[in-house]
Amino acid sequence: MRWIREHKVLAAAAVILLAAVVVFSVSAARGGMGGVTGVFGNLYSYVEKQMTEAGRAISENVSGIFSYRQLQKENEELKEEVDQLKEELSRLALNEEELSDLRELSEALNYDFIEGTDDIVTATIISFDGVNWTNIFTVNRGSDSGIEENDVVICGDGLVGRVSQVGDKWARVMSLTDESVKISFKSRKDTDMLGIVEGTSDGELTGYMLEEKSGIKEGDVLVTSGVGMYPDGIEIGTVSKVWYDSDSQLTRISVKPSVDFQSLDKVSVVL
Amino acid sequence: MKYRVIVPAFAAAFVLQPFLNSLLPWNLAPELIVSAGLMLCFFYSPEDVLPALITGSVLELFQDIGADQYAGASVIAFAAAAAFVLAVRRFINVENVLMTAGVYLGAIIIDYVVTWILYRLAVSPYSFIYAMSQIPASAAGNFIFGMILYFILVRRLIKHRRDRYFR
Repeated sequence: MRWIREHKVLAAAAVILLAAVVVFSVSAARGGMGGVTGVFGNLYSYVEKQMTEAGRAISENVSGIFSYRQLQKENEELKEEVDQLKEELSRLALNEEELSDLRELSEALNYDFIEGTDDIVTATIISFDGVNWTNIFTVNRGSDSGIEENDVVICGDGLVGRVSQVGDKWARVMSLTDESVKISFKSRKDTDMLGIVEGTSDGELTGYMLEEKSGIKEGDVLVTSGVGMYPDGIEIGTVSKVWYDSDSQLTRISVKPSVDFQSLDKVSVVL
Repeated sequence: MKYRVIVPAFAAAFVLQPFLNSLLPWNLAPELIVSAGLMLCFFYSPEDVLPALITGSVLELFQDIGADQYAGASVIAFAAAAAFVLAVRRFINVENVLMTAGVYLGAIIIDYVVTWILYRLAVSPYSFIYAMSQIPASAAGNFIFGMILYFILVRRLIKHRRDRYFR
């Protein structure tokens, strides 16, 4: 006690360090900090959202000034794309009648399908985890928008990961590569080619085919098979390497994820 | 160091951090509290720098709880890096830019390595080589910010510099 009275500041530092060790141990044992947040989490995410938006607005304006030529080129390309899409739209309009027939048929058969828009919440990333090599991030939507733990997160490029923690107005997302979770997949070109992938220590995915001699090739695109927590048909990545493991008698693959996690801005949460 | 100076300064850095993160590309944004805390360790005695380290640790813990997956990891890593600087600074001449820069860079790397070890213990799958291959931009940001602070602090805090002694 006397030592503590004589070294108040040092004792305070030791207490904080000890508290950090305890908090870390509890956090690691629970697989994250879920449940410790609440009012603090909401306040923190509010401040962070405001500051992130301010920084992003400045960054986008400044980069816009310096990339005038690139934007002009992009504008031309987009104009061409709009023309092509207009043509495609007029062609697809012809199939609308066919689609309404199919809708009637699905109702008649009482076929249960995901409507889409009502089951997806779009969210903006407000912060990344402070650690450079992980792809854990926080989005600006939470349980207020119907998001729950383990909801699947996707973006335009494909599968991002799952919701690991939820607050009222925020949710934390863990990418595919941040945990060793097995994902069942099928090849897009041949849906009979099935397999399992999981995250590796170098930020990619590795896995194996369920058939011993599979016809999987480098460059094949893999999508979720619908088995497990991930819905069917979401793009996972492209096969970057295929080899036969004679010990386990399995065709093994390396997969490059379709999503560039570092450049993500907006994501969609499948409820 | 006085709490009335360090608390507002570090609180401002805490609020400013997400702004910088989104403003600067390629993970270049420095970790303001860590960089400032480590640099202050070069100029103040352990007793004098403790208020800064305590304030920094509390804010780092808040940041961990608010934004990071595993709370407490940043605080432990920060403490390890600060302990390294406080242990080594007695043997170096702080006025020597190269020597200080070397030790400071070492402290930044210790901060990353300890964070990686703690994340690894908490079942993060990333290998050491992969993790370290992702830090150069962030380390450069921290280094540049730290050295800017160094040049400000070395002029203000060391009144009688050795290089002028014999003039």
